Formats: sequence, C-alpha cells, structure tokens
Amino acid sequence: MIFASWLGKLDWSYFWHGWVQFGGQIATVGGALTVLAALIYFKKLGWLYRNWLTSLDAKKIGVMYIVVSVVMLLRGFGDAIMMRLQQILGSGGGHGFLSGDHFQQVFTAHGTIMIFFVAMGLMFGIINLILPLQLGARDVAFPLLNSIAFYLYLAGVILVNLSLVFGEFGAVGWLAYPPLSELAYSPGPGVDYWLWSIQIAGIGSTLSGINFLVTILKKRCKGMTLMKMPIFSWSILATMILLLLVFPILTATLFMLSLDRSMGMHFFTADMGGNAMMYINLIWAWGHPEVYVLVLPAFGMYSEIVATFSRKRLFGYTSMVWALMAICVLSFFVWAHHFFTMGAGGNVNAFFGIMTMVIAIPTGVKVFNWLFTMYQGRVHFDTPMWWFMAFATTFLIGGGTGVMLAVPAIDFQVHNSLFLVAHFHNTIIGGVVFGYLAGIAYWLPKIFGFKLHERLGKAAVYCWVTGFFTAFMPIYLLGFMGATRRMEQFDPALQYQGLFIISGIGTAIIGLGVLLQVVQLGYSIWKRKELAAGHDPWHGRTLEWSVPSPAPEYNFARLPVVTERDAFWVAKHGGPALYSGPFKDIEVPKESGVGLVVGLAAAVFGFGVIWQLWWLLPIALAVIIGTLIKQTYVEETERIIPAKELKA
Amino acid sequence: MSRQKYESPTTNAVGLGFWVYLMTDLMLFATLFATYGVLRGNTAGGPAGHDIFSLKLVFAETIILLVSSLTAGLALLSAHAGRKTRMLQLLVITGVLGALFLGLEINEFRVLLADGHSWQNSAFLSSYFTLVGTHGLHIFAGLIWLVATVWYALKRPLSPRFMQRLTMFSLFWHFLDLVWVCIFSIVYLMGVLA
Amino acid sequence: MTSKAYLTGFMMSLSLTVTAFILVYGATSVGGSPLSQGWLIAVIASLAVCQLVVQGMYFLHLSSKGKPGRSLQIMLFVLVMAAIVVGGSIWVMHNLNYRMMPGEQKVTETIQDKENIHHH
Repeated sequence: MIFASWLGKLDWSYFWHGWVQFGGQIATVGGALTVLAALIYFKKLGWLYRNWLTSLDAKKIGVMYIVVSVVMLLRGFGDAIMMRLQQILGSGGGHGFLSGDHFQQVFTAHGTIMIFFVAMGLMFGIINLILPLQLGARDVAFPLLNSIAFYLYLAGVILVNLSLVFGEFGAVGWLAYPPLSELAYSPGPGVDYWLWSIQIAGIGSTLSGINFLVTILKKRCKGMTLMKMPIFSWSILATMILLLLVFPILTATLFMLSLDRSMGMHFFTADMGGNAMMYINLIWAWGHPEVYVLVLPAFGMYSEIVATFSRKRLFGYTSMVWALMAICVLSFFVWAHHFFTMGAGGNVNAFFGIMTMVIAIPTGVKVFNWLFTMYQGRVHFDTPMWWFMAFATTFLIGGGTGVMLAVPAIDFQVHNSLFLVAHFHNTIIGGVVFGYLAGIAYWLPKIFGFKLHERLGKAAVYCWVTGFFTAFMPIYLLGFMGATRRMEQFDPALQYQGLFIISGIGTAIIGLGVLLQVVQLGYSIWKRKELAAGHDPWHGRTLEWSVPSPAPEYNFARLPVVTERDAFWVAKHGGPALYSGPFKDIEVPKESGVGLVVGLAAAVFGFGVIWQLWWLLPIALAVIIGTLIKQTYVEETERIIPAKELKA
Repeated sequence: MSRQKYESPTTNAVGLGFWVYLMTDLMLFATLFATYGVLRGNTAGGPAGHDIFSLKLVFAETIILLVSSLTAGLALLSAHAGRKTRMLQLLVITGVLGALFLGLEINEFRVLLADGHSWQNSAFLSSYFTLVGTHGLHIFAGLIWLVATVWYALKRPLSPRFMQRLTMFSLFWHFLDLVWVCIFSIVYLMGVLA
Repeated sequence: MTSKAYLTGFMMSLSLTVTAFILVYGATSVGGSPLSQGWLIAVIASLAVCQLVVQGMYFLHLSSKGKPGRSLQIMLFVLVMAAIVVGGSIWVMHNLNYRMMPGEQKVTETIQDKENIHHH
C-alpha cells in the first residue's frame, strides 16, 4: 500500500494509446535520441554545455529559444495536418483515423504548443537577440535570470513532449475550460500535463518580462532617451508592461484549477459553490492581453523593416508610440468579447463590444503610418519586405473579421464556429507568424553573419500566403455555413467535405512553404560564404547594424553615444560618430549552470505533481531553493575580455 | 540612528526589477481577491465567514505581523548605520514574529479542519484557504529568505550587494504586511460583519 | 528614513488597526453598533486604505517627490489595472450570476442528484 502511493498515478498502461500515438512517440523519442547520438558521436556534448547551455549571452539564449520554438512549430504543424486530414475524411461519411478523444487531444496540443511554445518562444528569442543591440547595451539587465527563464520555458516544452510519450494530453481545448477540465470529467494526467507545462513556462515568461522591462528602462546607452529609442524597443516596452500585468492572472487561475484537481477544492467545479464562469472570465482577462503580447513585437518588427526597406524614416514615430501604449491599455477592456454568448446582459456585452471596436483604431493608425512610410520612399522588396506585404493584406482581413465578431449580435451567430477559428488564425498567422518570420529574415544576418537565400525566402512567402488563403477562406465559409469548431466528424449531408479538401490543399501549400524555409536554412548555412553579410546588409537605421556580423559576444567594443533617433542612419550620413575614445576591458557574464539546474528541477516538480509523486516535490523545491541560495555566495559572476582583443 | 538619505528602490536595475516583481505579486493577489469576492457567498449550505472567524486570533496575528514589519524596517536602518549586531538581533526578532504568525495561522487552519470545515466543502472555503494560504506561503518563503540572509551576514561585512538584498527583503516583508491589511479588512472584518 | 519615521508609521498603523477591530467587535457583540452594516463596511474599507497609505509612506517610503516618485507611479498604475481586472470581474460575474445561476444551492443539489456525487 505504501509502496503503491510512492508511485502515485504512474501506470504502465499510459505507454500505449494506439498506432497513431505510437507514431508520435517514435518521432519524439527517436528525434531526441538521434540528436543525442549525434552529439555524442561528434563529441560535441561538452562543447554544447560550455558554449551554449551555460551561456549567459542573450544572443545565445535567443538562438536556443528559436531552435526549440522551430522544433515545436513542426510538432504543432503536425497536429494541424492531422486535424485537416481527419476533418476531410470525417466530413464525407467516414470516421477518419482519429477517435473523438484523440482529436480533442490533438487540437488542445495544437493550440497550446503554438501559442505558448512557438509564438512566445520565438518572441523571447528575437527580443534576446536584438533588444540589447538596439539599445546600445551589452546584455540584458539580468543575464542569469535570462537563463533561468529560458530553462523554465524548456521545462514546459519537456513536459508537453513527455505527455506524448507517456500519458496523455488534455482533451479540453487550449484553455481547458472547467468543468470539463476538472477531475470529475478529466480524471487522467492529461489536463495536469497541460496545466503544469504552461504554469512553469508562464513563470519563466514573467521573469523574462521583468528582465526586458528593466533592460529598456535602465540599460539604454548614453543619449538614448525613450523618445530616441528604436520603435521595436518601444513595442517591447509596451509588450512587457502588458505581460507583467496579465501573466500573474494566468498563474493564479491555473493555480486555482490545480488546487481543484489535486486538493479537491471547488473554485470552478460544477457543484459545492464552484463557478466555472469565473475561470472563463479570468482566463480571458489574461488571454486577450496575451494575443496583444504576441502581436505588438511583430508590429515593432514591421516598423523597423518598413522604414529600412523604404530608405525612409518611420512616418509618425510619436503616434506609433502612442498607438502602442493605447493598445497596451485598451487590451484590458475587451476580454469579455470571448464569451459574449455566456449570458451577460446587454450593457456588459455592449461595453466590451464597443471597446473591442475602439482598439482597432490605434492598430489602424499603425497600418496607415506604415503605408505613409512607404509612400515616396525608395522601396526595396527584399524578403523581409515581402513578409510585411503578406502581413498587410492578410492581417487587414483578419482584423476586419474581428470587428465583425466585436458586434455581439453577429458573434451570437458565429461564436465557436469555424468562422472564429478562421479569424484568429488569420490574425495570428498574418500578424504574429509573418512578423516573426520577417524579423528572423531581417535580423538573422546580424547574429550569424550570412543572409538567408533570397529566392527560396520569397518562394516561402508565396507558399505561406497562397497556402494561408487557400486553407482558411474555406474555413470562414464553413463557419458561415454553420460548422462548429473542434469537431472531427460532420454529417455528409452538410456537404462540408469539398471545402475541407480545399483547406487541406492550402495546408499542404503552407507545408511546402515550411519545407522551403527548412531547405533555405540548410542551403544558406552551406553557402554562407557567398551569402556573407557585412555589418550593414540592409542599409539599416538603428544601432544593431553598426556592429560586425555576427555580433561579438559583448555586442559593442565601445559603448555608443547617441544624439538622435535612427542614430546609425544619422551617423552614416554625416552625423556625429557613435563611437569614440579608447578601448577598455569589458566584463561579460560568466557561464553558469544555475538556469539548467533550476529548469530541470522545475520539470521534475511538474512531473511529480502530474503523477502525484508527492515525495518528489520537496526534493525538487529544495534543489531550486538551494541552488539559488548557493548562487548568492558566488562573488565572481563575470569574466574579462581585455581591451587589446577588441577590434576597431 | 543617523538620518539616511533615502534611495528609492527603483534607482538601480536590481531595485527596479524587484519592485516590478512585487507588482506582479500584487496582480496575483488581486486575482485571488477577485475570486474571493465572487465566490465568498457560495457556501454550499456550509459555514460563512462569521461562523468560523475568530477576531481575537486575527487581531493577534495582525499585531504580530505589524510589529515584525517594524522590526524589519529598523533592521534595515541598523544596517545602514553599520550596526551589524543590532541588525542581526532585529532580523531574528522579525523571524520569530513571522514564525509565530505562521504558527497561529497554521493552528487556525488545523482547528477549522478538525471542525470539519475543509477547503473541500465549498467554494467559499476553497477561496478563503487559498487567499490566506497563499499569503502564508509568501511569509514562509520570506522566512527562508530571512534565515539565509542572517546566515550569510553572520560572518560577512555589510557590503553594498548585501545592503541591496536586505533592502529587497524588507520591501518584500512590508509588502506582505500591506497584503495582510487587505486580508484582515476584507476577509475577516467584512466577513464577520456580513 | 529614520527610526522616528518607522515608529510613527507603526503607531499610526496600530491605531488604525485597533480602531477597525474595535468597531467590528463592538458591532458583533451584544452591544451592537449605531452604524448600519453598509456604513460599517465603508468605514472599515476607509481605515484599510488609510493604513495602506500610511504603510506605503512610512515603510515603503513611497512619495510623490523626487526619485521615490517612480516607484509610486508604477504602483499606482498597477493598482489601477488591478482595479480594472478585479472590478471588471466582479461586474461581469455579478451580471452572469444574476442572469444564469438560479441559486447556487439549487445547482449543487441538481448536479449532485444527476451525477450521483456525494461528498463525505
């Protein structure tokens, strides 16, 4: 009996769930083992540990975020392919190949992975790469915290992937509404995997938020007032303010759900006074600002790209700043539009509906400013600019359908239909995904020293845009025709199958685009000498383009002094020099394994709660607390790069 | 005690970072308070606040925590004045008072459980235990921090780095007392009145 | 930042605390209270806000002047946003509860009957 409780809910039966899952297990375990084997074979484990895993260089941490995010993108996209295929097969009278329960786990995993582990990961990755460089700083404010935050994100990734190998995932949708997500209706470990992977990653996000906020407020170089800061940095400031305000709501809400599940509490249960609607209220009070957290950095990237490739300064910088801050604040006043149909009265729904329309205004200001920037500029259509054009068209439509959904009366017809699904994919793919891909295409040369192959990049944009419209316009139509979301089968009499097939073709085209990007990356690495980028391959305007490519560990040999906005552009065209004076010794943060240890312990903690291995919890916590306390005794946290090593 | 020119907590990066962390904690507690506000009437036929709260106990807890907030502040002052021994004494008193607070609270919970008023019995009880319990967990974390601080300082001089950390601890401890003001007012006092 | 400031803050907080407790103790004991419940709650809330301000000023050294002003600005901003989330949630939930929940006790009984859930 005592022995049994040591094993909690562990059970051998959780290894087998059917052949489709078996394929996923093979892919995950096989992939991980292949990578591990390659590292051992090429004797790179030590190198990886010393140069990457323990690095406190924000650029390296950023690369790690992006690598993990791309891997998770492949998994999330795999989920998408499965869903498309199932719905094609299931709308023609057959059963398809996924059971209802499995389909539910697939769409839950798809949403969870894409939002938390792809979008957030790419966002933090790109910020890590570029923010210090833009601000004229050498690193973020708290390099060790940066590493810890990355490994907490990784702990979430580990748990989500572990759920595929051993156990199950929640079959509850990416936001796991109770009462379905309560113990009574989801007794297995699936919802707990969902809960703890996000909870741990969410704490990492909050820590990153503190880090980047303080970096912007305290680590700008001399002369760079806030209004002389690059607009991308402003977008990050707005994003971090928003993030820091709302992630605690998520933490608290997930905490309460976990208490319901593990300690028999009744916050959101169907009985004993619980109120499931409170969960929905709170989760969307987090959830709506979250989508702005994702899209604001993309807006910042577009602003930089449009100005650079139009060879013209950004139109309306001040109004852009105000628009960012307005979106930041207004996003707090709209959350109930996610549950118009839950039965609130007219005045509540009207208030949130009107506020939702109002928030479209600052976004519109931004779009116009981008267009005015291009107007009478000398526009160079390199790949990053192609992504912007793709965004401008796609996102506009998505935003437009959003304004439609903002009207409660319309929403009552299409809430939770495929129309809604098409809308948010429209805005997320058009806004967030295209933006982050644009940012990577734009800034990768700075980090790695070579550009990505142009023609392959443009072909990828073609595929993504064509694929997106082919995949999602039918989904809009299906929504209007009454198709409900999250269903794996439809009555063939409804004649949905034709549109699902078209959507499937679109998905395949997107897949081709992804494939082209993978090929592009491999080819560009192979041909990196021909594709070598100097320090300023795009005729940039901001400070990051003034340092060599790849950027050195310490970013700046001498810290710049700035007098105006677009300081690098100004310096290039006769303005005051950015760098002067002698070279001095530079202190850079020393490598540290603290982040890795804390992250792994956090993953163990999560695993322990999920499987009710309560004895693991104090051990994991002791490791985390002990590591952090031990760190306070470490005096030497930096190493010196002597002045004579610095090149002019 | 000498008059110290006060440096705002947000003057440097570490101070600003910690202040921002406290603000996220504020949002966390706000969410728990919102939930308590919505669910406190849902007693599922069981007891409400006025049935189970003991004003005498809460008063004792409140005074203990308030005094500990004072001693924490005085400890910081002593450190600024370079008086390490006095700082250590005041920190120990702070810790003892904090432990006493926690002990009283744990006993309060124990009695409630023994009387059959568990967090499993209603949404009201769930949100009560969680709100007050989360505050208690923060106090517990603070005590761990305090012990680590005292241990560190025993054989070390009061370096600027140490002063920064001590300042952050005292901010954390004061912040927890502010949250307690909200708890005893909203949960206990208003609960008893209802 | 002097010991006098801390002691002043402490004495003020103590007075505010004792006042609040005495008021409630008086209201709930046999003597009763001249104030109605609504007024009492308002007074308790005001005493709490006063103490938050006092502790903020004397313990957290929040002030609007000079350097300390930043931390106050940040805190006020966060308090406003917290008020929106808390207030908005209570507004929305009150509305939903009124329109959609026929009485929490009835829901509990109905579900317990239908699902055969009984808590021990």
